[in-house]
Amino acid sequence: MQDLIDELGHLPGVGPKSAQRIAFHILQSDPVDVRRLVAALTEVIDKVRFCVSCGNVSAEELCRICSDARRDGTVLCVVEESKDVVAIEKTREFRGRYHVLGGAISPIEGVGPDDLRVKELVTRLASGEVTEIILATDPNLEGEATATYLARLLKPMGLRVTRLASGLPVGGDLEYADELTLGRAFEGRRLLDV
Amino acid sequence: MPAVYRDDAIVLRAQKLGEADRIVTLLTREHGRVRAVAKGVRKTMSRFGARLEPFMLIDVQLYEGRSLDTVNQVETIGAYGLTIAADYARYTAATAMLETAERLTETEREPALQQFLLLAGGLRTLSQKAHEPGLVLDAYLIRSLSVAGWAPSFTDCARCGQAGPHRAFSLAMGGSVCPSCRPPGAAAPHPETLRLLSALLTGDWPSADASEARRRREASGLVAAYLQWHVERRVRSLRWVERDGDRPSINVPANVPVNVPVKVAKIDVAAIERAQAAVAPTLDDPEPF
Repeated sequence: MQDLIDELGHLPGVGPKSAQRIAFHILQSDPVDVRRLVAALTEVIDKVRFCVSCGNVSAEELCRICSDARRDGTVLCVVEESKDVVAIEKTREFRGRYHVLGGAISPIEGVGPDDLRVKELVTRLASGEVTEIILATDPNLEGEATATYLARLLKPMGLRVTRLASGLPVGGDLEYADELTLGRAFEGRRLLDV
Repeated sequence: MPAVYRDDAIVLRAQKLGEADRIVTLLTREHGRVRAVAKGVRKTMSRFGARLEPFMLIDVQLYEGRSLDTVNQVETIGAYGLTIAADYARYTAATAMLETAERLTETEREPALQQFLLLAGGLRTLSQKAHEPGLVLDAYLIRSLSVAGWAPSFTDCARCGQAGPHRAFSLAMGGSVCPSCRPPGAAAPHPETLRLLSALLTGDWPSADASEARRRREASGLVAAYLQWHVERRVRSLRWVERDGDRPSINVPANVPVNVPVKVAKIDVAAIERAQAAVAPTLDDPEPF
């Protein structure tokens, strides 16, 4: 029992108290449910790997998005993590393909450009199919610096390099926005075409 | 009742904590280096998430805690992050400055006013783009080491005080050394390099800006070695600092059409600066170098 509590305690956001609660919940659950959980965990370990092309999590060699011929191969969206792909897919706004970097440049944490999948990105561009790169790294300092680095690397290749807009969250009040976000919203304002 | 205090601070580091929180390391004006929890700042609706990014100079209110304090309110004094992150060379130089400041303020809550002022001035200078980022970094490193008690000598002998300039330079002895004090294995940098280092220490920017690239390279090598010698632990970000004339470190495959030389990214910095100027308060702007 203690082994289970210790293992659960390693999960993100799970402290010792929560780990104990989950462990006792598992103990009292229907064995069928627990076996299903075990099977799901085993399957994740055995079957899920990373797409050889974009670096996204995938069950096959090529992920669902990279192998889908209906996706627009001329636009590539560069993100930090696989979970960012999930977030963008939910919007149903983007029909191109992705490239997962595996993090952001953060020298203070010892992460430089060589530790990310930048080389793989540049290699992917060799075919000449891609014409636009959308830099969708996080709108924080590391994400901005990574976008700056990539823009400098990719622009000389004659590509259209764009960055996701920053600004006001939908459904919020303008007066509650912080001055930096509001400043960025002004900077990225667009013409209303009515 | 927990104690509440307010101080000016520079955000040195922000680490993820749990689902949406961050632990921020702050170098404050009066309370030295402080680590604090900022709750919910990773959510897009967070009111002060943007103000708690590294390089920000802020006016912050904190609740005192047992090991970590808690951030309660934040106002921006200097938003240096955006301008710095829009230029990769500046970003790498500024990151090395933050890491050095963290290393040189080893004990938490021990006031380090000089280090605070120096870092604020350094970041401001970097964001103003008046000088080459590598020079600003080296000037900051030498001066912060001096404030920490390891002031190097670039003219007189560091051991016996004999008037210089001298040819030899010894890390262990603290700078230039005369022929009789010179230990075996001391470096012999070019006299111009020592003049550049001296200019950076004293803030003689016209001389520093006019220096040659190879002297700058030699000077930054000496400064980095001097820093590592004294702080003992490795300053990780120094490895990634992009110096004048460096190229991106990725080897582009031969079949990729790249028109070298690689140019600096054309992000609209002027627009960012205009946006910043609109919100820049005049509370307590630090003096640039």
